[in-house]
Amino acid sequence: MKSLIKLFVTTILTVACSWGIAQSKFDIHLLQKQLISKMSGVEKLNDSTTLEERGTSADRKRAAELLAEALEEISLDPEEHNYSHPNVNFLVDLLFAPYKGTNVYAVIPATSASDEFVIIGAHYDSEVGAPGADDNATGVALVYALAYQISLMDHRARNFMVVFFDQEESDEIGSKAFARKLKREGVNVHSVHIADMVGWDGDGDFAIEISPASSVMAPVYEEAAKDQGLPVQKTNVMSSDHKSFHDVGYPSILVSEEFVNGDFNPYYHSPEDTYDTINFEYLSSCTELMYGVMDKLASEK
Amino acid sequence: MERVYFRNRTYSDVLLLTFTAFVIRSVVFVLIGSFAPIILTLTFGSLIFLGVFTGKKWLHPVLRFWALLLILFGSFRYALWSMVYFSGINEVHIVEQFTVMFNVFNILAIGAGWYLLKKRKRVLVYI
Repeated sequence: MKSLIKLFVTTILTVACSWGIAQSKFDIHLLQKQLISKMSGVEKLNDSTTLEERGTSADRKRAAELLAEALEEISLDPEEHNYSHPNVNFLVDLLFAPYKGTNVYAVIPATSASDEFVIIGAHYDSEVGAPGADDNATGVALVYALAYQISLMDHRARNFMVVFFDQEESDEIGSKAFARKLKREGVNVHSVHIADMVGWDGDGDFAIEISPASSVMAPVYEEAAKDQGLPVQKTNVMSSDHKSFHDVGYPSILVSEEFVNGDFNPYYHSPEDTYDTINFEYLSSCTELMYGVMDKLASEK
Repeated sequence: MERVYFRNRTYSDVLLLTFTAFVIRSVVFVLIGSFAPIILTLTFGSLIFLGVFTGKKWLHPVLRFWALLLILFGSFRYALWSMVYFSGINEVHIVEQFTVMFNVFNILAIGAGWYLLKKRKRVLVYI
């Protein structure tokens, strides 16, 4: 009788745990889909309008509000970093006003004493006229899922900061301003992880590129990829937000689809960069890879 | 030492206003780490200041240059506006500069420059 009760309890617990894990994965997947559909104009926002693109300041402002609301929904406390940044050429400063924009970020504090911060970010703006589903609603959705998963961790040896950058499409102005802010405030940055375009896998090989090859974080990604059986390729792409942090001396890394190896979204920066072109299975594998890395960074010191 | 007075109060007010507008604009850029506007503004400010207090004859050319710069500033921005409009460039940061305030500032700059250029010889008194 005792063994029967034991078996019954074990079965119940196993089923409950499996359902919990499945439910959690399902939720993350659903959260990502919802966020991408809202960001690329498929699903309506809370005010019953749609966000067709995220290029103009008015649309970027609406996107920033959407992301702040999304962070609140997963019980994080979003903050806005409003910035002004000089023009790309100093001579242009003589004629035109500076760039202005808003980065949205939230801190997930360490569970033990630590002043180190792991920064995870993605840009939320798009080219004018492009819905930007892959570039870069997918990166935002990846970071959002990570934020949710990290906030559920029982133990975090480091602080985590999730950031949604403005104006990547304008010479990475948003992340430059954020890197300068961190430097000015003397934040102890452990590493910076950027996701940019993680929703296209034309050849179905699930290959993920990480840049730059020399990043001190590259071996951690390779190890996590090995654990998960994912192919990772080291490249030297420097045209995304990780460059802003690299330039001020922070260890940084970019996670993306295959820019260098030629398997990247052919619709990028065009009106065809839409929700229905996204490979959600590939997005999930990129999310799993980065979660594997964050799990290591949260548990090791 | 020879000093200079402005016979016409409006002239000195317009000069001061244009200069103040550019100082404010320059300070905004200094605060975000760009020094080109403040260097240009302070260079002209120093020359005008020195001209007023030393009464040198080169105050005329400095005022003329400042006035021409104001006209050029407004005209060049209008030229860029036309270029962007007709070429179909969609660089958001540039396109979004062309607001009502952009036009007001341009018209004021060109108008003030024209006024300062025309009146400069008749308003200065050397003592």
